[in-house]
Amino acid sequence: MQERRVQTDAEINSDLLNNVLKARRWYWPAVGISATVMFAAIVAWACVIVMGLGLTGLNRPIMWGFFVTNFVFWIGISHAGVMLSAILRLSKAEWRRPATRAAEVLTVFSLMVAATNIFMHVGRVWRLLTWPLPYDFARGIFPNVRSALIWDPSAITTYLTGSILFVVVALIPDLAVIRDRTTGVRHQIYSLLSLGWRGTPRQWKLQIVAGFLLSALLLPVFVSVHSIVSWDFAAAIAVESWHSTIFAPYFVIGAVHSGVSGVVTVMIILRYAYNWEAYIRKEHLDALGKLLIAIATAWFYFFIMEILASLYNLEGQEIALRELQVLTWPFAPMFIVFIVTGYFLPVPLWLFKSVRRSPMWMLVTTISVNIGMWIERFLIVVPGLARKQPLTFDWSSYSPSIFEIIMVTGTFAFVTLMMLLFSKVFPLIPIFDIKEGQILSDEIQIGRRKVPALKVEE
Amino acid sequence: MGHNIHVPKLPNADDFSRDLLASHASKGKLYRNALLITGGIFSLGILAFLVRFFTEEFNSDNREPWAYYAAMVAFLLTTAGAAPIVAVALRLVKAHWRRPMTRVAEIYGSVGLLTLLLFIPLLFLIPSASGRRTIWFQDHDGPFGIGTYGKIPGAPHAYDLLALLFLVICGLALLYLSALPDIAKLRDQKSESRVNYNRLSLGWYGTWKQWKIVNLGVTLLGVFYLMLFIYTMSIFSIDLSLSLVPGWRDAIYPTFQTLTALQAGLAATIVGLYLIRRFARLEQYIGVEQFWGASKILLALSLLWFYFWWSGFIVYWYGRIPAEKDILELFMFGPYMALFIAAFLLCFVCPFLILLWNSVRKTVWGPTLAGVSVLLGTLVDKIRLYVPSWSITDSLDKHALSSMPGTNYPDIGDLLMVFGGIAGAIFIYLLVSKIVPIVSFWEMKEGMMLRTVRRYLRREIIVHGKPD
Amino acid sequence: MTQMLGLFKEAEKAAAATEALEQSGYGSDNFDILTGSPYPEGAFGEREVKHRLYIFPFIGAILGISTALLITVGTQLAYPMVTGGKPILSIPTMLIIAYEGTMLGAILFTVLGIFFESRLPNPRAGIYDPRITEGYIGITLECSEDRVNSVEKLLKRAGADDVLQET
Repeated sequence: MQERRVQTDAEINSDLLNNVLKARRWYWPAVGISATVMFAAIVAWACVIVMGLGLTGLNRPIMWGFFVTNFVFWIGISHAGVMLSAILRLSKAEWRRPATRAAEVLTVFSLMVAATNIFMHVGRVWRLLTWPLPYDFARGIFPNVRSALIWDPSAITTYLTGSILFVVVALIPDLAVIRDRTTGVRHQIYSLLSLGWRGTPRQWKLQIVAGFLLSALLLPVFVSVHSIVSWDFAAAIAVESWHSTIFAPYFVIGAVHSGVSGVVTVMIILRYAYNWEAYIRKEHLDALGKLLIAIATAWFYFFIMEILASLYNLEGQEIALRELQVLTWPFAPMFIVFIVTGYFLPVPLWLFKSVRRSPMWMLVTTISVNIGMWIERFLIVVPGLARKQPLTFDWSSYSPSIFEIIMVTGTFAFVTLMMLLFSKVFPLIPIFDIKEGQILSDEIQIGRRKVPALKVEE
Repeated sequence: MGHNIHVPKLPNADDFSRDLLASHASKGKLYRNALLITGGIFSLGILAFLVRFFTEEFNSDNREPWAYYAAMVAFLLTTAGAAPIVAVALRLVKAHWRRPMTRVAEIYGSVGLLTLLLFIPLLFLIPSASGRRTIWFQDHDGPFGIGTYGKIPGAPHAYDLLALLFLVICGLALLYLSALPDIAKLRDQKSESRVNYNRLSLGWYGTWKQWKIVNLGVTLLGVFYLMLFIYTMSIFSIDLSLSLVPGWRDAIYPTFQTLTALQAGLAATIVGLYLIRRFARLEQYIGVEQFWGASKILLALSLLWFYFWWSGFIVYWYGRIPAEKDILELFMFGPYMALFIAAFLLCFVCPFLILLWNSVRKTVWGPTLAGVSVLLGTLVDKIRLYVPSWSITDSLDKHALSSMPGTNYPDIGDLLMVFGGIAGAIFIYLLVSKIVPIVSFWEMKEGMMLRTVRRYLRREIIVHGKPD
Repeated sequence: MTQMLGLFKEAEKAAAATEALEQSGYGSDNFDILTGSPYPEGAFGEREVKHRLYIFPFIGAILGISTALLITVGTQLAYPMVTGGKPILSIPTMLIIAYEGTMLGAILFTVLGIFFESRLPNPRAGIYDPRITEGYIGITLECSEDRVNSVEKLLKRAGADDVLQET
């Protein structure tokens, strides 16, 4: 707020719609590159569907590899939306304003791509029509609701539906802005989408109440989704290091850690790509950096508790697994990279205000966090399975095939492409939110100093 | 006519100063009676402790008679130990409504002295870390001598004591530093108090540098307190309950206990705020806003209580490992089922149902009622967790419980020790509240400077300054 | 009846205009405010917004939990097969899916409620001008043909930058 520049509504409209109304020079090349990578992934996936999962590196006992790791990773990224949008909206933090839509949209696309990872992982994709859906028809069997793998689709469907609706409801006023600035077919489409929005006090009040209510409803869902994903691992007893009571909150806080870092990465890219320095200001990055310190440290506490508890029981199998995970090639260097990039590099840097206020350093540190958190998920999934059986002749190792690597890379391309396409059609910073922030900002004179202030209704 | 919105007149600093000083100076009948009653119950508690000390064996092989005592110490650490975190957290996030609450929360840090004192006897009752599972990974010659991690001398006693000691020192330092400007104010009032405010104020005159030191110091001490508390609560809960039960391996337990503590600390602050508002006659300055803000956090923490409990439960229930089924039986569905149901209702269901409604959250009585429920529930929960843990007579090197113990019902000595400890905490709180003002004058004045009511178009609106 | 829309560039003039309208006998029930961003409630003296949005999530939650329990109980009783040693109707697992169903129902009905209470979609929304989203504040009201001129004069005197009409 301290660094806010006073702007007219027309200026705000123009700045925030600069890609919607007219594509920027880098836009179509960026779309082309993302689409190409995604296309390569689709081709690789088609090969896997036709020729079978043997094309991947999956084999007994490591039946879960890159795809499940990537699934958990993207579910994690999806938690950013609710964390930033819902919690900051409920706590009325002013600095949420430029971040909420990007976070919510990232959530939606991350969830979609997370679900896609399961489709990829299953091999014969059409079988998913029969496994989680509650119908029996000629099969004589319903999905087993006692399985954590069935809790997953119920949670992800709820979260995805809720997140999409959250984005849609909050978009309506901005669609009205685009309606008022377009002509011809575009005007007609946006008129339809804006549902006749006029901006009456009733509509605005409902919009604000909707923001609070949906935030309050989505928060418990967000906690439950990643907890249910964690129970895919923790509920059963087959694999060492998985059957731990801390998995649910550990996964959730890890998701918040990687998700918020992901949103910060996206925001910095948007700031640079769309020249939104006046909207995504250094004070926002500073506030997000401080939030990330708290989240990262909480995550680290859970991580320590998880390791401590696993060694606490002094069981040979568990200790052997931890030695594999932390001290043995090839997982040992991965562990070091994970812990450094996930915590020990970014957090000490974030303690410095100059780092928090530097877009370049925030970009580097938040990308580093997500590299670390991807590896963390890999280290949870694969080493445990590598030592799943008590008999050593069943022990094995895993290396991903080129198909898995391309398909996982394709998921990143998918999210990038979808964000780009979204930004062409809808504004990635909520226009009315920025305008509201401007209306509510004020000043108080204390002695010789003018202190920035905020109007508060109650 | 459109609804013209008027905002209530904001209190001014002079009125507040007069009312706060009057409240601080008065030692009315109510206050004296409260001191007498709590002091009396505390003395009875000490008596009960001494009787037990001289009649029962006092060593780590005979923990059962001290089960309720351990639960009481855990309760004090959980509630009074966590309460200062309310002040720390609200300051860190710069919640503008925190100002009347911070001192109320910080004074609980002085109760840490009592907790530390009461903890010392427990040190003699905790077995050493050798030959059993602990987080201190001692040298093992026993049946699971799988590798050695080296001896950590003095574990767990020394480390638990040191953690608690540092926590108490940090809490007292935080209270003192944040109260320093107000102590100087009391010095300048030249009151007839027996407290030597001249010396206590350390030459405070409110220079720019002194204010910077206070602000920075309070922030840093607050962060240290938060980290120390999480550490202390984690190891306390492991060393004084988890590791005393064979076969109990629960990664979420220390975190669950820490979260319960945050919930109980907030509840203690809310209840304390209500009592102060009522009996110190500060209704004008402690408004619905404080209770509304705190109620939302209490609702979230109550939901998290359920979530952490459920995370532990579902993993145990689903896995059906015999050792874990025994833990569920012991703490939830067996000899302590009544306590579990009570704790579940008081810590989760009641606060959730009370605080679900915004119209109730926006009252003074609603969050207070929820706070009382949480405090009762926390006491019941500590008894549920610590009493069975201290009542296990199995050898601690076992992998699982050999048999389910019966319910350890409290006798008169146990009840006196529990209520005596709680009364002692209230007694110390009352004493300290007459040394430092119960509401932070300098923070309130700062808040009054940063807040004004203005006409905005056709309504009045409050404007909050946000200097940083 | 004619719909009229006065456009004001400055919020203060719009607020003064609503006061003038009230003094001329047009109460807050007779006019409405159109803005491109949310203003603090009551800033223009508009009528209080009353809504019942909070009922919708409760209805949705009840329907959601009923549906979820119906599905989980019904499907497992239809083909009762013991898996993992757990009872056919395992309450903890049913609770998880029931919880998700509750939240989904609550969210869906909340969104329905938002659209319903906002009176959206509204294809025949009434008089409007695109300058609203450029920062202009619109005061809209309905009046009879014979009062159009006086209303237009009133709005212009209060500082309206433009006054539009629609029959």
